[in-house]
Amino acid sequence: VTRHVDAETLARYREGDLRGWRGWRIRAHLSRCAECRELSAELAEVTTMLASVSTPPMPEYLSARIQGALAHEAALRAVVDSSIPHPATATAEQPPQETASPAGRDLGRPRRQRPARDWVPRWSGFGPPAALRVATAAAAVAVLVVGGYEVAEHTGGPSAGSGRRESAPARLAPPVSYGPALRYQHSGQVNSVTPITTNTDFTAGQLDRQIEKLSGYETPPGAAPNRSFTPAAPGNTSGTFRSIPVVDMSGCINRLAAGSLVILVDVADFQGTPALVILTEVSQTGPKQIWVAGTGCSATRSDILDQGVLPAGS
Amino acid sequence: MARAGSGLPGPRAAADADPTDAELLARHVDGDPEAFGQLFLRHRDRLWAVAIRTLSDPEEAADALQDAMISAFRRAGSFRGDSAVTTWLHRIVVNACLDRMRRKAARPASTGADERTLDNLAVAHAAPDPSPDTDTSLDVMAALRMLSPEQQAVLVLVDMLGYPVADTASILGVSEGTVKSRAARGRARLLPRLGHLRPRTPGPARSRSPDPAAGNHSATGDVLPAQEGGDESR
Repeated sequence: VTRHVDAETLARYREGDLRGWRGWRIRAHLSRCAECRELSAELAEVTTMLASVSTPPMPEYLSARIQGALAHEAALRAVVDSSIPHPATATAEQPPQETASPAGRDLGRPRRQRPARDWVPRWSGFGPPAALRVATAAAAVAVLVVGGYEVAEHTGGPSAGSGRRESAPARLAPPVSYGPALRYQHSGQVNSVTPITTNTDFTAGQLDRQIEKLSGYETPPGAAPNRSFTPAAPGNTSGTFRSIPVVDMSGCINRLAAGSLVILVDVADFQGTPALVILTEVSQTGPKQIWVAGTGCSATRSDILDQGVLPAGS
Repeated sequence: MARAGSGLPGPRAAADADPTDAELLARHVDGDPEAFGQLFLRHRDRLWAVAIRTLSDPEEAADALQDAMISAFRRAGSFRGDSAVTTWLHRIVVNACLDRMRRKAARPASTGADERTLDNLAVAHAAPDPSPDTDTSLDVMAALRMLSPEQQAVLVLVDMLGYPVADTASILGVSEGTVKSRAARGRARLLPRLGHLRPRTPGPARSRSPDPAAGNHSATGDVLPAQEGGDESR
C-alpha cells in the first residue's frame, strides 16, 4: 500500500494544482485507498458547507447610508469643481492652523442670554422651517452668511477676513454661534444643516430635556438665502469648526442621519468632553432621535457617546 | 442620463438605456453626479456579499464597503481599464475588508464599546439583523475566522460565493496558483474544525485530525507532502 495523502496535498490535487508524476501518483493511490477517497470527499464537503452559508441581504438603511455618502461625495465634487480656484485646495488634507483659536472659542462660550430677536421656541413647528433647513448644495453656500462672524474659522482662508468676524457680533449677538453649512443626504438629495454652538454640557439621562431647551435654534435665525455674500471658498471643507474638521462633521452627520432629516446640530460638550449633539427625525409626526457623537465621529466612524429619543409631539 | 454619450463618441452611444460599467465609470469621471451611484447599485449585492462574508458584522461590512466606494469614486480617474470594472470594484472592497481584518487582529479588544453602541444604532434604525444564520452557518463562519485573512478572502470568494479561480486571482492581484494553494490550505485547515458538522457520521477508524493516534496518517513523513510550486510563503 502506498503512503496516504495528507489533506492539503489532496486539496491541491483536487484543485488541479498537482500535475505530472505527483498527480498521477495521487490518482493511483486514490484508486486503491478508500480512506483517502473518503478524505477527498470530506474536502469536497468543506466547500459545500462554505457554499451553504447564506448571505444576508444588505439592510436598506446601510445601503442608503452608502448611497448618501456617494451623493455627498458627488455634491462636494460639484461644488469644488465649480468654485474659483482657491489656494485652499492645496491644503485640503491639512486643516489650517487657526483651529481652536481662543478667540473663536470665546465667541460663543460665555454668552448665555436669550436671543434678542423673537425666535419662537417650538418643536411642533418643524414643518415650515424645512424650506430653510433643507437647502440644496448650492444654496447651502448662502447659508454660510448667517452668523458670518465665524466664517473665518471654518473657511480657513485669510480672505474670509477677520474684520467680518469682529464687526458682526455687535449687531447679531446671538447666544449661539453658527458653523459652516454641513451637507448630508436626505431622501435622495443633498441637504444642508447649519450647526450651532450653545455651550451646553449635555448629560446622560438629561438629553431630551436639554435639547428641548434649544428649540428655536433649529434653523439659523433670519436665514436669508438672497443676501448677497460669497464665501471665499464655497466648497472648502478643509477648515474646522470648534476644532472639529468640517469634513468629518459633515460625514458624521451624513452617517448618523442615514437619510433622515437633520433638525439640529449642536457642537457642544457631553459630560465635559466635546461632542456633536444631533437631532434627527424620520417623519414630522414621529419621534425624534438624539445622537451624541464624540469628536472621533466621521464618515467612517460613529463614535456614539449616547443616544436619546424625543417622543412624537413633544 | 442628461449626459448621454458624453466623452464616448464611439459605437456605444446607442446603449444609453443600459450603459456598460465602463460607460458609467467614464460618465462619472466626466462629472456626471449620478453615474457612480448607479454603478454602486448595480453591483451592490455582490459587493455586499463579499464584505459581509469577510467581516461578518453588518455595520463593519457597510463601513468597509463605504470606504471602498468612496475610494473608488475618487480614484476612478486613474482606472486604466486593464481589468473589468467589477473586478476593480471587488478588489477595492476586498482590500478594504482585509485592512479591517488585519487592524482588528492587531488590536482585538479596543472596539468592544463602540460595537455595542453600533448595535443600538442598528436597533434604532429598526433593522434587525436579517440573516437567520443557522447554527451550522455560525460554526462554519467561526471556523473560517481561524484562518489567515488571505486564506479567508480566497475561500469567501471561491467557495462561498463561487467566483472562478481566475477571477479571484485577478481580484486579489495574485497568481492563480497562489489562489489554488491558499484555497487548498484553507480547506485542509477547516477540515478538522468542520468534521463534527458533517451530516453523516464518519466511521470509527476515520480521524484525520492532526492526532498522533490517527494511524499511518501522522505528520511524520509517511504521507505525500505538498511541496510543489504555486505555493506562497506565509
